[in-house]
Amino acid sequence: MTVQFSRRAVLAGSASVVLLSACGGDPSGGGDPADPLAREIEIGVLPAEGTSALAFIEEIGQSIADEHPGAKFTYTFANSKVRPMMEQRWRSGNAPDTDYYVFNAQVPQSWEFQDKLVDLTPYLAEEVDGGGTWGDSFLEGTKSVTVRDGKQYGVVTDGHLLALYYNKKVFNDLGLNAPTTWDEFIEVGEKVKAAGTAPVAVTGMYEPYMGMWIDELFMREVGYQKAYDAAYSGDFSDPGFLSAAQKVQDMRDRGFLMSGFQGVDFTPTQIEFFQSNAAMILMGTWLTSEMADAIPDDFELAVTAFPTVPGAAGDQEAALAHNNILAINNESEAIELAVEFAKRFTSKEVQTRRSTELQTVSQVKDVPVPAGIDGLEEVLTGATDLNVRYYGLEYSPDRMTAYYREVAKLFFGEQDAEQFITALSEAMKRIPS
Amino acid sequence: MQRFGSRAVIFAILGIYAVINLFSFVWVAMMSFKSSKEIIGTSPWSLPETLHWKNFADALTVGRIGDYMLNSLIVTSVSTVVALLVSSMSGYILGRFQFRGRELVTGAFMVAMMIPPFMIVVPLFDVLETLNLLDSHVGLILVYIAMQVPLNTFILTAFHRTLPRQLEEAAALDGASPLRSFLQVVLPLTTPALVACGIVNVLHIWNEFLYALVFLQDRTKYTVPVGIFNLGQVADYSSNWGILFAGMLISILPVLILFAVFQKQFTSGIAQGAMKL
Amino acid sequence: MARTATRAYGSVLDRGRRKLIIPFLAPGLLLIAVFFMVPAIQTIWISFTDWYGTFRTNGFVGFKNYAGIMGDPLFLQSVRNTFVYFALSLVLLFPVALFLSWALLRVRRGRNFFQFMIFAPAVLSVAVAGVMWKFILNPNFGLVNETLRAIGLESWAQPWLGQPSTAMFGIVVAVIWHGIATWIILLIAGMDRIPGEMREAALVDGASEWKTYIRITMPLLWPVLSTLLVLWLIQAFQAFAFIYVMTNGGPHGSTEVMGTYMYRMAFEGRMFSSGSAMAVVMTLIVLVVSVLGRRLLKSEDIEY
Repeated sequence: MTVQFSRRAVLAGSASVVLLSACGGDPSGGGDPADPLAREIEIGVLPAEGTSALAFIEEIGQSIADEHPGAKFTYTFANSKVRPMMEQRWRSGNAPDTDYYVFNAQVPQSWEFQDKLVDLTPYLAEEVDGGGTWGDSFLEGTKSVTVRDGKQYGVVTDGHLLALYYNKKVFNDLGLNAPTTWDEFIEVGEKVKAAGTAPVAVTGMYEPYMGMWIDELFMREVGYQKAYDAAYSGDFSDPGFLSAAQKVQDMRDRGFLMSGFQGVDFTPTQIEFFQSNAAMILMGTWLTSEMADAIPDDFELAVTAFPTVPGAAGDQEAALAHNNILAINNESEAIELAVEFAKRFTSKEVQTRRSTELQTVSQVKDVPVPAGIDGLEEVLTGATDLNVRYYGLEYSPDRMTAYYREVAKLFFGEQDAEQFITALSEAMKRIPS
Repeated sequence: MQRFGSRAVIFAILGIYAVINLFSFVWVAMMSFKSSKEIIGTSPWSLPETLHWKNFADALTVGRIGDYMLNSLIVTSVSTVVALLVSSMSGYILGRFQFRGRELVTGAFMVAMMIPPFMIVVPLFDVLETLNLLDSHVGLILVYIAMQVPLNTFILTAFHRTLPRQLEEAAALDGASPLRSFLQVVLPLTTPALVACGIVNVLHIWNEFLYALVFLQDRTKYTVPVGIFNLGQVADYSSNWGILFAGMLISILPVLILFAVFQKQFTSGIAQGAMKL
Repeated sequence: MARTATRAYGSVLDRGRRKLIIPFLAPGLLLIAVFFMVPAIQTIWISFTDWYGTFRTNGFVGFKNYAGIMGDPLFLQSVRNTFVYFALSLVLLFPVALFLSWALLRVRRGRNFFQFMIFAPAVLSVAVAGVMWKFILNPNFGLVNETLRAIGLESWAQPWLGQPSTAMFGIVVAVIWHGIATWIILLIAGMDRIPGEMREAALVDGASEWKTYIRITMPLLWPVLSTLLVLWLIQAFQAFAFIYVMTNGGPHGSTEVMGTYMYRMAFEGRMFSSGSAMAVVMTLIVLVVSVLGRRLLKSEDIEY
């Protein structure tokens, strides 16, 4: 009895609150009930709270809310370390309305999300401002990562590729040019070292960042597809793999790696680079937006594609890339609003502003390359193929852990090239696919 | 002479230890006053050039540390008080009586302590959802009580076992009911143990991160460790450590004050206990 | 003293009090049943099913997951590392905690200050304490190496967290620095139960304070101490947070413990079945070691 009574009281109470707010005609609440965009929506975001990158995204939401009273945006951090928690929410049917990292058509492991996501194909066929369809506004390269079985499940809000950043001042002082081949890289490295600067900044505490070196060299030596297959089958018998590992060993044995790299985490490593304690760093093009606050005003940053290995059988012009793909939850009650948000986020105008203000690399056509970084345009336009970084291992972290642990042992001098190839092959064969 | 010498050694060792710890807090304070550029460009052990108060403003507005502290305060105090009460009861029974199934009960508490939190997180998520307690402080508080009860019971059982029984028996002869003699005679005797347990509980719950991260989704309900974690992500992805340390400094001040207050009681509780014996 | 702990039960007056047994145990048991036992049973069930990927599949596969983890060298390495972590922290934590708690009780002037300073790190979040120790142990601008260089011991400077031989040690120091308050509080509370006359009698006999502590206080403290040892065992086997923040299991797996590996597999790797099997194995190991440990500690108890 008491329960019924209290429930009724609560209902009566809430009803009167609704009536009161209706009488008051509060413009911020409610909105037009017929407006499909007048909904509450939770957006999964990659930038952390308090960053200018998040403020930028919040502005996009605000611009929609201004036009559609009743649209209410909340933003949830959905990057790296909270991914497991976000997946727990997907598991229990309680996921945010939009999220990242849930779909990448090139990686089979992410297909399990397919039926949880909105098929965006019909929306992408709609016209957008400035002519053409929404779908046509993206660069061709983004199709392969977002389209599966002819249906598109996500849009690329920004795309990055890995490249070799270098300190132009150090290079100019020594009269050096950016290395284009591996041999040149070794030559340049020796000269930098002789001048008393560490050639390469690399972290020993985040294994995949050491792995970038071997990933790039595998791609140059045997080609992306072959290296991709090997990562899942364990077949590293092609002599190109060994040759790549020997190059890393050579770089290590020549003392190219900054001293103490074993105990320096990735952010301090990047700081060492920007403090001119090391001359080169292999990193994704997110480097500049991530480290915006840490780059000294007089720092001369330049970038070049990862050195080629002339004569080797692999891909010499391809790059390893990482696309941030925004997908929409098909259980969302605000799908229309989510689509509108995605459209504005990827509009040419917003992407252009994001490129100039935040130095973010866009995958939308006709958006200028971030300015002020020598060589970035050549790197971005010069890459013929964009391949998923880490050979897609991010979607099977058990394999990834074992893979890059072996790479770390190679960097640390715990094993040499041959031992590395054997151990890597064994580890990849052991893990069930 | 010998006693004086040993006292001096003790004093010196404690002094060094205290100075190291003091220094680490001074360091946290120094970091919290530095701008990003300073943190990156200068030695982490140098003094801040100017006092960069913006970090504190950011920690309060952007990092919402003030709101999170209030949440943590509510969650921690309620969980600790209830956990102490519940485990006093079970500790009393296990320390005081032999009965059939006693080993089973002790075993249940022991096993509950040994279950790694990670592995129950996923099923526990479902349990809380079933009970409609997901994304609520009530749900988190219940989990925290359950988390502390086995540990407290374990410790309190050991204390109840060594407790003199005569007082309780005297109370019973005076006609006090078992419940009253527990509340009025037994519980006060365990005050030092309860204070010790209470401090341990407060520390565990105040710093608990995993459950809070997984079970709370609404940003306004976050507790301090989740808030600090978010600031840590800011630090990782924009090398802005200042806001992290400022948030930390704000969030630890009330706990340190509380600690200072309780420590006096804790010390006097021990002194009282020593006098009785 | 130890003998009085096991005195005979069952006075006549206890009969009325025994009525309290069920109502007093019920709340605690109910809580752990709902929030720990039910999820734990589900975890055991999951460990016998095939759940690979984010969304649940419930095919029963018998002991396949257990066979899988037993054949996984990385898991076995994490088990080994867990024992190393436990042993290393044990020999560092308890002597330091015992000394500090004894010293705190001895010192008269400034005791509150010392106590406060020793306990204070406990209020720092692991996220911050971990970041701080990473700064302290940073090979290039860390406090330890800068100090070593300043006093001319440059050759001693190392990448502390970056080499297998020192990384675990660095973590253990940080963990103990942060968490020692709990153990000191419990030890001091335990010492409180020791009658003052016994100690004073020994002191009058001319024994030094330290000897009195070792000969008189320690044996009497043994029941509490053995309880704390078991507690530490349980905590050490669940080690996670500091390692996750400071080294994330590196360099190349040398600080990977069961807790971090399990997290990596179950949450980052979405291998819930394997992760659950690891959790079951881990719980069993803790159970066996703590039962053995308690036996061992009890048999020594008889000597006094």
